[in-house]
Amino acid sequence: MANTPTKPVLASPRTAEKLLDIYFLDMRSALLETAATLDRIERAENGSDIFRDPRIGKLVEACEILKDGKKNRAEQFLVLFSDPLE
Amino acid sequence: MKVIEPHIHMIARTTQDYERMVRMHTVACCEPAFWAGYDRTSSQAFFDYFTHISEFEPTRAAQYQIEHYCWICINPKEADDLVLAREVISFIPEFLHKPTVLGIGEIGLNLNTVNEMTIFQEQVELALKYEQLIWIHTPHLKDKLKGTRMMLDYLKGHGKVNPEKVCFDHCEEHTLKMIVDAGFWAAMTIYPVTKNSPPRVVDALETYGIDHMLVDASGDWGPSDPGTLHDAIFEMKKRGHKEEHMETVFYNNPCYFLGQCKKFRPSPSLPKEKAWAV
Repeated sequence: MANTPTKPVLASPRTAEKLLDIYFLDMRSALLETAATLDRIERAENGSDIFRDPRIGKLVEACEILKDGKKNRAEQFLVLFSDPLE
Repeated sequence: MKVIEPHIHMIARTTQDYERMVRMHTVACCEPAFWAGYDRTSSQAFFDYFTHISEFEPTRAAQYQIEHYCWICINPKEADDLVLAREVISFIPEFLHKPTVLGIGEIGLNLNTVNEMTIFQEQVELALKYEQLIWIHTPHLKDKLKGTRMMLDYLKGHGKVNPEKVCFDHCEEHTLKMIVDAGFWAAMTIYPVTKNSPPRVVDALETYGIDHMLVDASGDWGPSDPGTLHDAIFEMKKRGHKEEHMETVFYNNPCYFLGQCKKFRPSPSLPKEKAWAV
């Protein structure tokens, strides 16, 4: 179970627009590296078969976290890749 | 601004790292006892390792005007062998009186086994018996959430453990809240791939606040860099945070936690009630 969000207690002095300006290219780069790495794996021998590996499935699930609009994306991501508590 | 590195394995680093750290205003560093990159073949190897980090590293660091402190324990990666672990535990007390030993650490879990948990509990008892601070290693990757919960539940239910004297290290977004809500100190480690990045560390400070929070760069024998601690300071500057808040996280907070051991000499620039009032 993911932790519930808490309010920021050291508020960011920057506006959301400014933070997007700062981090947009970093985010674009991180996603591009993931896309290129999947292409690299697929080009290799047995490339199409490896996409059945559960680790790839987890990555696809992680992409859903980005899309669902809920907060605490990083926390949800880490919980997805964790052993269950029980 | 002065900086304290709360967790770094200097035995695995070159003197050039000490040079870089002092140029970046690092005044003290702390070395928890941990895995050497291979399993040691006898308890005597641990005795020699403890001697190295409690006697030789302080002299090496002193050449660069850095105070070197250490923690002593049987680490979780080698704690599954109960016979070996108990042999090591038997001579830990003779190191605890040394002038740079801060407490018992980094104890904890690696694969969350029954034996690891047994040795974790035995070393918690050792710390309580000798009134020592405790530094906890939380597991990596998929084992972190469960392992952190196991140790936290044990300590919360113990009845004699003061959370103020215990720090959980290698915290990430999915483990921070349970730790800070229980009143323990939380440290975040900046380490490529398996732990935190400087931006995520600052995200956590914005989310959970700066009280009871530490940041470390965890340089060791793997790909890692003591300079990433200072990358996190730059990240706070980039986001427009006040220098007094940076000083709280990277200097005063280590003083507040580690200073509970009277052997730790650096002193904070502010009382913590003032430093934590954001």
